[in-house]
Amino acid sequence: MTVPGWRSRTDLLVAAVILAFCAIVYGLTYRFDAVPVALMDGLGAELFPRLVLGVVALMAVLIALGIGITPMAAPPPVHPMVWMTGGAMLAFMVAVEVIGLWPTAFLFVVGLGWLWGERSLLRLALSAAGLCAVLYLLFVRLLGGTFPKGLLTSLWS
Amino acid sequence: MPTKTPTHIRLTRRAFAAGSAAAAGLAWSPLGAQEKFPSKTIEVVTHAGVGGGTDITGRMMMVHAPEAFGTEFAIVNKVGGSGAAALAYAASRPRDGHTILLITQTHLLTVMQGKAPVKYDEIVGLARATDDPQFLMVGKSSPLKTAQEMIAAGKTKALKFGVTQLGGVDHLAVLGFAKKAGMQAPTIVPFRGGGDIVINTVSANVDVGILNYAEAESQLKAGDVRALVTLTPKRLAPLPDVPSAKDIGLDINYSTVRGFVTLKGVADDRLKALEDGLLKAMKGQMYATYIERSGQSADSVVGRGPWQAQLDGFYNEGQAALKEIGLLK
Amino acid sequence: MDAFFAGMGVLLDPYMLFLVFAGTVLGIVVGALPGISGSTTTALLLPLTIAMTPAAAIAFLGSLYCAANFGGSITAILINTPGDPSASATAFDGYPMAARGEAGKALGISAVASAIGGIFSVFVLIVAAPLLARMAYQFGPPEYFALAVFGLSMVAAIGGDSPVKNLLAAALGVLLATVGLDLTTGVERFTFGAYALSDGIEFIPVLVGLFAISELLEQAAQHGAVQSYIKLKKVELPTLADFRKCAKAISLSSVIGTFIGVLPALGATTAALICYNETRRWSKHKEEFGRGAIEGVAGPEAANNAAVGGAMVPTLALGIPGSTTSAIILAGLIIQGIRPGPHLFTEQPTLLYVVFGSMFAANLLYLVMGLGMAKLFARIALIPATYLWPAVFVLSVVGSYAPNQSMFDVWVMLAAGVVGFLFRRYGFSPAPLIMGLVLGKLVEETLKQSLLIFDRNWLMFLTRPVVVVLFAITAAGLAAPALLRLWRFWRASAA
Repeated sequence: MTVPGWRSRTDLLVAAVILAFCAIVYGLTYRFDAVPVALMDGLGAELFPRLVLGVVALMAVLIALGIGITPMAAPPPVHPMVWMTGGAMLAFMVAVEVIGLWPTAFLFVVGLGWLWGERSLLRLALSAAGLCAVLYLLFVRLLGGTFPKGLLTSLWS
Repeated sequence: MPTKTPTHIRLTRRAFAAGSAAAAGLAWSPLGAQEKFPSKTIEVVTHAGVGGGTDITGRMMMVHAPEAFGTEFAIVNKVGGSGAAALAYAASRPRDGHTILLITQTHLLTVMQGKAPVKYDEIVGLARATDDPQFLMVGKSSPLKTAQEMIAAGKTKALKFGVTQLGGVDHLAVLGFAKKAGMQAPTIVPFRGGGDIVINTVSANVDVGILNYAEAESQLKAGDVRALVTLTPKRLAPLPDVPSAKDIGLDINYSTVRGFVTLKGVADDRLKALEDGLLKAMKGQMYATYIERSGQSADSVVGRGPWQAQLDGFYNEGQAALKEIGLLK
Repeated sequence: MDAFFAGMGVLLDPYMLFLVFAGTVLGIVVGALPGISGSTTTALLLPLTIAMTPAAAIAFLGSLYCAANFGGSITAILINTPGDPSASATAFDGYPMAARGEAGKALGISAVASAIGGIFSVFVLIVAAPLLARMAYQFGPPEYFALAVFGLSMVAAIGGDSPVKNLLAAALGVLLATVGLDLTTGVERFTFGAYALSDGIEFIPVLVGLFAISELLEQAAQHGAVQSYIKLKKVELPTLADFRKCAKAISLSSVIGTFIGVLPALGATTAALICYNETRRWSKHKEEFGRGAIEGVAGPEAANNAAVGGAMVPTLALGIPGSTTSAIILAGLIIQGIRPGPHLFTEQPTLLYVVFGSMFAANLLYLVMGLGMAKLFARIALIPATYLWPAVFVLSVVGSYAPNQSMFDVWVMLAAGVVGFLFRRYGFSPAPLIMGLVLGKLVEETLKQSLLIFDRNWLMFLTRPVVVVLFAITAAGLAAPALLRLWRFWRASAA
């Protein structure tokens, strides 16, 4: 370990990520549209975000130096189930575009429940159907909202 | 965010082609007897969120619309991009008359600046819904008692004007007024809404506020603000003593207008049907009450002709004004 | 007094009572669900209410408005999903309480605190509306700037245990608030050409992501683990000792919440967040906050409901809406032919008492329902994680999508969920980020407006009495902990 004891590697990592983020966003502030001279009575559009970025960066430096924080031990590795759950969410987003929201919602509740260790598919299906029915009644029937239909569904409708 | 616009336009063309094919298919029937219109729910697209001023106007019109048209109506709120999101959505729909937009001048300003996937000549006026004359008002404590005094003061120093949006309708009205009256370029202080402008006019944080009658009604009655001039050629009935722009010798016409339009491509007989239906719905008692009580001008509702003329006029003037302040190259 | 009895007479009609009841029930439901807010519902029902008499319409919309602000706390406590932005501060401590099996307690205290805050503000509305409304005129951009700075000044102390990390999170929140059209220059910032971003980032997806989705990911790591702690404790309501503990939080927050509600530019969300800070600042148990402090539920809940009565003050007395919902109620009043303003209080006192009476009744009603159903609702926390959290995800998607009918907002929610997950993992708290997000826009806009008004002379801030007072309070608040430590040190060394 080259890192001194009072300085945590995790904190350095966090600080580095935040500083990189600041650099990118700072770069973006150069891409704002210019304000016509005739309208420039007050402060420019980029000044405030840059000021705030300065504060973020300063705090990140403090974290890197271990000032004002309790040094952090490395957190345990991310549980595989978290990755799988995240993957299920992404699959949800893709499926919505293909088969529409309500079928996706039904499959998601059953699928994630099963993934998390529930083995009674019948009970999962019942709860998923109930949930979709209630939300459909509230948001579509009562409030007149429209939800994504999906490519497949719009083909035959 | 990937640019959705091109796909939408492509989809529209395809949908449009499909629509024409369907129409061609119907042509077996003797002399191409017209497809019934409207045949399904008509969508009213607005840029305002649920509960916004324009949204409420739409909902008021819709109270009588189903009987006037014999079909259901639904409001579609597409918030964002100063009307660009609403225009983009409408552009993605088939041009069969089942999608109409409720717009304000803001949409035109957005179109001018090329920020929407729609060109001005694609916008077809149907009927005007509201016409809300704008006023210049000052606080009770203000030394400016008349429009003439305000103009005189504005010639010696830059007055501060409270407006709602930079490069928006209020802003252009203030600039147009100042120019015509020969005042110095005013200092523009933008606020989030009419309520904020009222408060800051009363407390003299700004010299002058640009407001509609309804926005400041309670303060006008209580004497907390004074209306100096309306920016339209005619005086407004509830404020008979406030001079119009014409009275003080200025040829200007600035009011907040809302109205229905659709996009080019809708068959002419459908445009007519939409115009008639909308006018009928807005003649309904509920809508008339709404117009009267919210302080809109009594002749708010007009048909295609005058509404399109007003849109054209605003488009040309607005373009010139935006060029002048440098928001348009 | 005649007007009072006349008003009560109108209200005691069975039809009116039914409307107040219906408004309250509907308000609780839409308040609890993310994606349907009280303001959306009032707007959707507005054309419907026009057919009613003015008194009936106002009683219905008023009770819906009161109940919706309470409803938000139910989902915030049970599934860490604030049903309304104003309930986000409630989730800070409400959900940790539910997670350790005290959902009933949290729901109970939320109902009681909400009702007390709401009823207090309705009384203020009756007694002092015309007088208090004049206060709104005293608040221009410089005063709001000073108030926002005061609100932000406490962020270092709330949330996680490191002031540096809290400040960083708050600054990120402020940065997030700069997304969209800049009011004073008309320039679009960080929108990447997306319409969905031009009016700024939507609150609901960010909140739902930060709270619900990050919790869902956290739960994923413990899938299948037997959550015995939840099943062990039985669902119980708050005890007298709990109420006594919260008395200070409730009374303080009722007053501050009403005051903030009266200011047209600030709403229930700001009221709840500022009161969360103040509750913590004046609490004897600061260390409990963020880990399930019952006071941390009582404070913001009293505040966001007090803000309702507060928001009605400028709406009725000046015709200037104090919140989104009251803006729609104002539109409803105007269409009904009622002209709000100072004269309303002298010309139509009966109608005003109907408004007050129905809001009062709605507050009592949801208190009864809230306490009655707390045990029932709390059982939601007993649903096995394998059923509950996938359902929460679907609710989050629907709730994020619904307001703007946009999948973009769902992506925002997912991104916020990942940020929330990383925040927890690396010892940051979402609380300061939300403070920054809510107050950030106000700080920047009012600062720029002030400088325009002051002709860019910064010193002019000091010519405004309210600003000077607010700055002084802010400075005192920041210096107090240091001074206190110095005082303790001096006493210890003297002894």
